[in-house]
Amino acid sequence: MQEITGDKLRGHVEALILSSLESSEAHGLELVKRIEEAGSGALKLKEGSLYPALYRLENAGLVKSDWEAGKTGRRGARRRLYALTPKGKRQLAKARLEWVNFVSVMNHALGAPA
Amino acid sequence: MNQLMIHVEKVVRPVRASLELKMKMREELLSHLQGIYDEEIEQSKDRDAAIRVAMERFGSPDQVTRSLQGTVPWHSSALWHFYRGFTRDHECRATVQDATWWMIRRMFGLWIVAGSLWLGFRIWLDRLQWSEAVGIWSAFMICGLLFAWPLCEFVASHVGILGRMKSPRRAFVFGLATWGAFMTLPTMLYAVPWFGPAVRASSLGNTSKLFMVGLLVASILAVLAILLRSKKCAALIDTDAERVTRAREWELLDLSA
Repeated sequence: MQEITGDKLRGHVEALILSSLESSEAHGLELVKRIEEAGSGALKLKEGSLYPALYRLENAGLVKSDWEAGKTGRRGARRRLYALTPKGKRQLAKARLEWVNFVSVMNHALGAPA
Repeated sequence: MNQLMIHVEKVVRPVRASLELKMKMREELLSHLQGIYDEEIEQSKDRDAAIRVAMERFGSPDQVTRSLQGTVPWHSSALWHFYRGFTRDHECRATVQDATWWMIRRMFGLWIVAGSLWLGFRIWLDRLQWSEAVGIWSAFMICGLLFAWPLCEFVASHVGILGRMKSPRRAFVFGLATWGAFMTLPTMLYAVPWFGPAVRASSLGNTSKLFMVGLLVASILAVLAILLRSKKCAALIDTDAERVTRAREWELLDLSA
C-alpha cells in the first residue's frame, strides 16, 4: 500500500489523534502506533509533528493531559498521558461527518466510484 | 543520550515560551525520543543507528519548532519576551553577581535617560526654575529607584543572589511581594480613607507614627516569614529550584555538537 505522509496528512492529524484517543488515554508514542495501525501501516507521521497537534487540541479543550505517575526517565523525562474530553468527543463526531461529506463530494467531482 | 537531548534542545530552545512550558516540551519530547531509541535498539542492537533512526522518525527540528511556536499561548510568549529582555546577557557575564550589577546599572541608566527627557520637557513647557526642576528630578529619581526595586529583586532572586535560584514566575512574585510589603503598606496607612486621617490627626509625634508603621510592617514580614518557613512552602521552593536547575542543564547544552 502506498504510504501517506507529510502534506497529504496535514489537516487531518488532529482528527486522527482524536480518533486514536477514543478507546483510551495514551501517550505520544502510543498514539503514533495507534495511528499507524489504524492506517494499516500506510499512515506515516513525522513523530515530532504530533506534539504541536496535541498542544493545539489541548489549548482548544478537546483533550486533557497529565504526567504519567511514577515514570520518571533519565534526565527527568516523563511521559504525558492524553485523554479525550467531552468537547473532544463531540468534535470527533463532527470531524467524521465532515470527512464523509468531503469524500462524497470529492468522489463525485473526480468521477470515482463511491 | 546526550545526542537525543541536543536534538530536543534544537527544537525547544528557539521557541518563545515560558520556562515552565519549555520544560514540559523538553521532558515530553525527550521521553518520546527515548521511547523510539529503546524500540530501535531492541531490534538492531546498534546504538548509533538507533539514535539516527530516532532523529529521522522525529523529523526536522526547524519544522517542529515552527509548529510548536504556533501553539504557544500569547501570555507565555509575552513572559518569554519580558524574561529575555532582562536576562539576555547573563550567559556572557562571568558571574551571576556581574550580571545582576549589570542589570541594576542598566535600569538606573534607563531611568536617568527617561528622567532627563521628562525634565527637559517640563522646563521647556512649564518654564520651571532650575532649582525647582532639580528638586522634581531628585524626587523622580528616588521614586524611580523605589519602583526599580522589584525589578532588581526579580533578577537577583532569579539568578540566585538572594538565596536559591528561582524560576522567573517565582522571582517575579518574590520581588513584587517584598516590594509590596516594604512600600505599599506604609503608604496605605496614610492613604486609606478610614485610617489615614485618624493617624494624621492624632496627637502622636512623627517618631511614634513612624514606629507604628515600622511595627506593622515588621509584624506582616514576620507572618510572611513563618509562612515561608512552612513545610509546604519549603517543598514548593525545592521543586522550583530543582526545575530551574534542570532548565539550566538544558540551556547549557552545546547545540553545535
